[in-house]
Amino acid sequence: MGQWQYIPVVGQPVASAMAFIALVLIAFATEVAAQIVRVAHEGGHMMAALLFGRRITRFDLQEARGADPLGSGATHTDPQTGFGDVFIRFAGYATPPLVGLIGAHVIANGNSWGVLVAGVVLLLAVLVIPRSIRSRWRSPSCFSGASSGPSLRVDQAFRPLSPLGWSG
Amino acid sequence: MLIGGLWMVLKRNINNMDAVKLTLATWIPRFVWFAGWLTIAMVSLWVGGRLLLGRA
Repeated sequence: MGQWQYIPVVGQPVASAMAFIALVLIAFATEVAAQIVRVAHEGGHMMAALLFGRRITRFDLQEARGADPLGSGATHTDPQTGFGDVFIRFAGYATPPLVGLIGAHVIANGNSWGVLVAGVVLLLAVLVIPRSIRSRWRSPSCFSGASSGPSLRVDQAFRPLSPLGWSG
Repeated sequence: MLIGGLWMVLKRNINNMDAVKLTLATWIPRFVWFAGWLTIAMVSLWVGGRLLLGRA
């Protein structure tokens, strides 16, 4: 412990300001992280569906609200039966930690830019995979009920190209 | 993503919609699915954390 040099900063204005900024950043990061994790969750459903050659018919994301800090989302595939459906449903909650693990592995190998670029590409892929003929942001002001928060909805009428070359 | 994934599993717990539908489809109890997700999330956080902190 001889190499550590303790500096008394607790209670000083600079330290307090830094702590406040850190708290604001953490609060902001939590909200942003929740949305990215939600996209990864739905992206996991999508990737699993593509692996099983399912057609992705719709992709919904609903923004987090007070009662539901995580927000909600839904990935609709066609058909929704069989073992593939079990795998597709399981993949949702398994995907964010596994994606994080892959990212950690890549960062540990010194390629943090690769993780950043892959993240952007995957976020774009979520929008492109269900080749959209109709996508729009919904806000409460667009609907008379105003019961739901802003959400992203992507519909498609085409069959996506499956990486296995087969689409249900 | 590592922390957020675990947080999401814990926040949704066994009452999440995917677990309910998986139970309806397979008759496997919800807590089994929840335990699977929780295990994946905790192991990923542990291994990923060690990788990022350079202790792997």
